[in-house]
Amino acid sequence: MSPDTAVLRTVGLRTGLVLLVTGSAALTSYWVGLAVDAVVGNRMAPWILGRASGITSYLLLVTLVLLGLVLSHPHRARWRRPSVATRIRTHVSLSVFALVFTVLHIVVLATDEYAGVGWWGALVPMGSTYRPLPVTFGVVALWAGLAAGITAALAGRISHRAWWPVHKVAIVALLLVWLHGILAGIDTPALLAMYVVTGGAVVFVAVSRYTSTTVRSDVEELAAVRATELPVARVPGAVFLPTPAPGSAVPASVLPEHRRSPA
Amino acid sequence: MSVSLHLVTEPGRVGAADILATPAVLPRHGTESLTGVDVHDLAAHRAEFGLRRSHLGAAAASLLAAIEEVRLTGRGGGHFPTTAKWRSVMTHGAGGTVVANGAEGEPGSAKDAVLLQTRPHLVLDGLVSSMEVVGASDGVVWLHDGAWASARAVSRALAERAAAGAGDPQIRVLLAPDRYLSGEATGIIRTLEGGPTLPRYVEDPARPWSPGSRPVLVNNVETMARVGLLATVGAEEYLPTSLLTVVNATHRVVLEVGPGTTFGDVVARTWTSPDGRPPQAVLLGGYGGSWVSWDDLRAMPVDVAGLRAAGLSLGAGLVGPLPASACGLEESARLLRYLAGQSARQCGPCVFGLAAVSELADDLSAGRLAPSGRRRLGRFMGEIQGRGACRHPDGALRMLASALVVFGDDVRHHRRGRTCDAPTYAIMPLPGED
Repeated sequence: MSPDTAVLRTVGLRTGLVLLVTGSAALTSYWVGLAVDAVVGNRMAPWILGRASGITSYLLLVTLVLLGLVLSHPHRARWRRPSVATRIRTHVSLSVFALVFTVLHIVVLATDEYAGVGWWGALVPMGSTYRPLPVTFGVVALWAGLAAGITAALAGRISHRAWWPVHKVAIVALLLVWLHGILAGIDTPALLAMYVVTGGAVVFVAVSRYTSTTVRSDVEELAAVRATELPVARVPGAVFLPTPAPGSAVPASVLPEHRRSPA
Repeated sequence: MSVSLHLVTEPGRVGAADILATPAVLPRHGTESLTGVDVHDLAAHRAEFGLRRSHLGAAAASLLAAIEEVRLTGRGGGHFPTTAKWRSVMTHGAGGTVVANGAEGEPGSAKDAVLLQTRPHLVLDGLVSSMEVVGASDGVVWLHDGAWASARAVSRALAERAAAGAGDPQIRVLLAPDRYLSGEATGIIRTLEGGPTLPRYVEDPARPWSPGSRPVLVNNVETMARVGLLATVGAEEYLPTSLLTVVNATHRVVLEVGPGTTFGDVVARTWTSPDGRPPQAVLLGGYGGSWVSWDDLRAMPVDVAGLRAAGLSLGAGLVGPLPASACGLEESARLLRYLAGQSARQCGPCVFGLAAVSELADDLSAGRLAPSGRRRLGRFMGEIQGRGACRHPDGALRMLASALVVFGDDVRHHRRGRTCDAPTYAIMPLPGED
């Protein structure tokens, strides 16, 4: 690459980045404006906000878990783009955003007097008077998700053995959130379709991640081929093996047991 | 095709101490049909080399002194002095195991198979003598699964010795999985301790067995044959020869040469050029060895010390001439792909690093490697160097690094989008190919 093309490339990349940030800021402002317009003065504002933040949080959590499965997929080394550093940064950012929207979801519903949830119901299992079981699923998922996230934030400072098994409760959190959504968060058929499709995507990627050949199973396969003792060497004096003609089969007596045909 | 063969040794020094009197010819793959060398049964062996002297007790010192006198070193490329290894085992007490390692993992090499099939008693003499010196109670001949001709020769020789009342200790023949790394010493020791035949990390190279286990000494069968030679004819008649395997398009030649012989002589007498021209370079030592340009190597004598001074190693004794009409990068990428596939898949730098380097080398040879890819290749090679429990990546990288230097013109030619269309390819034999 000549210096000229390198400069052009850098300028192009920076211009693209500025356009991207400007565009997304404009789009976000437009959406926020729409949301504020819909909510301001609306008697249903808490309900709308609680529902919207819940759905947003759910979608972020699904993306987070999908990316987590990709991060630990046995075939991860085969994908070069995006780079591993980008994958991990995105995973962390998604978890922060998911947490922010979950907090919004909880604050709005806990402070809404008509919701029948309250702070007690929002944070303690079976504490809600409104749909106690589905809300409890969400509450337990919150604590499980926090356990997965906080221990992972300590990764590097604490042993891999301490945080990695705990991190797997994230899948429990997602399952509970999914049930929480299915049981308490469906008021239109579109939402049911969303839960089914996203749930199916997670199951698909999880199956691929846990059924793919891992490096460890490769080693086990190699280790399974054991060295064998040549039986004839043990009985000296009785082992003048005939030299087989070229191309003929090796005499069975020379073959270790696992190589002899059963016939 | 006709193959003309000549014995290549120093003039006037063809004595009784030569291991092989004539070169052996083997097919390109496998070691089943060997011709050119007479097979020594016990009677022929004793007629040629004489009776093995016992080295029990106080006589052990004389064999150690003889080994030190001829400066016998390991065949692993590191040239570790043989007696240093022995003394380490001796300090850990009697009752251990000695292994004659004949699992020739190097696909091109056949010198161990030739020794086992034609000079089994020399190898067994060496094994028994080393067991006597280090006080071992268990002897093992370590072969790879599928080396039936060698397995037959060894079991026949063991039976002959038992029938003749040689009074040998018990010697077992073990067949390892047929893989590149099956001859790796830590994998052998791990197997003897009841584990899988896979390399493992060893903290102290002088004590590669597990704490609490009996000591294990692993020596290549060529080292064993040389010990056998010292235990029979003695150091006075010993010649510091080398056993080489020369790879041809249709066959391989195993021959023994003296230290005065040059690689030019060896190749001129054992290699048939497919294009009528001298080779452009030679792969020396093994697939984890080094490429050396023909101009540099031609006048160099086959001498361990001289090669070492030039930063080279005879390794497993492989001599692989690359025809002038072949592409060195293509061949190197092919060998690297094989080596990456032979990883024991236990260490990250080997499983992922070597695979990534192999992919980049493939891209390079196919003319698909962009400048950023070349920088990545250099970075990966630096990051992998010196890592992995058994250092498998080191050999593979050594071969690739030497290729990038020796075939530097080709590297420049293989710019993005350009290949060389070399007419000959697949020079070195690999398992599983035709």
